[in-house]
Amino acid sequence: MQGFSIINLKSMIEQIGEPETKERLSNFSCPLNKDVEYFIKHKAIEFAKQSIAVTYLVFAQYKNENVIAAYFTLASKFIAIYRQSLSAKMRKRIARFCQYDPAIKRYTLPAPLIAQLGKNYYGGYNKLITGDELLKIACDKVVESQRIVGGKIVYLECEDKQKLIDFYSSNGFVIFGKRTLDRDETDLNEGQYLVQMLKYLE
Amino acid sequence: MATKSILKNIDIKEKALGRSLVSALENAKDKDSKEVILSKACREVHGEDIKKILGVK
Repeated sequence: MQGFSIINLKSMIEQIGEPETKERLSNFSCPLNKDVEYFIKHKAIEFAKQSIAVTYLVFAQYKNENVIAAYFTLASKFIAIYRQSLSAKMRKRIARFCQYDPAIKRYTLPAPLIAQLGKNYYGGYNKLITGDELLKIACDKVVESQRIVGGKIVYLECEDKQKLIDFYSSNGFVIFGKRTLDRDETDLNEGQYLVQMLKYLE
Repeated sequence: MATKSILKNIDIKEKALGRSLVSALENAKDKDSKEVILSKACREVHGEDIKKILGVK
């Protein structure tokens, strides 16, 4: 089949088994981000089986064969905003986006996380899809899930690199914060923190 | 992108962070995003069709 084929990693395991799936993931290469490569090789299957995060593989045709051009991972999350962190004016403004729960004195904003997003540089397969296309496919998948369960926001955390921020910004994402990396994360991610960006999905 | 992001929660407890989030939400709602048109058709593959795509008999 021509075009992009999206396969849920969990479904792939069910169809061809875990050993074969692992074998197919073993060649994935992402020199631009070690964590993207580490995750798909060492964590994606475990997280998929536990339903902690859902990984989708994006296949494209290359020399009459379907190869993994890229992947993305989504996780169900929400942002908790404590009442004391907002002035009365801010509370009015945030009420357009989320509900206040008086029992826990917090606003909660459902916000799926694009936890991973990366192209496969093995064999030059990265050239089969653009970053814009991959991000659109990931956001479309979030929209699809939000049609069922509700929500309008998606967020991600990326390294503080201008090229990355420009890429996400041109695709509708806006910076809203930073997350300091834990000590055990700094070997896979550059810098001391990640930039948090969100997008409003229409 | 970081694996640990999946395991972290976002708890906003400080006013500066609250202001930043509210502004980001408002800006994101009004923000123009470039139109991306996929160069190829895209579809999710389910069930037995997965084997076909992967060339597994």
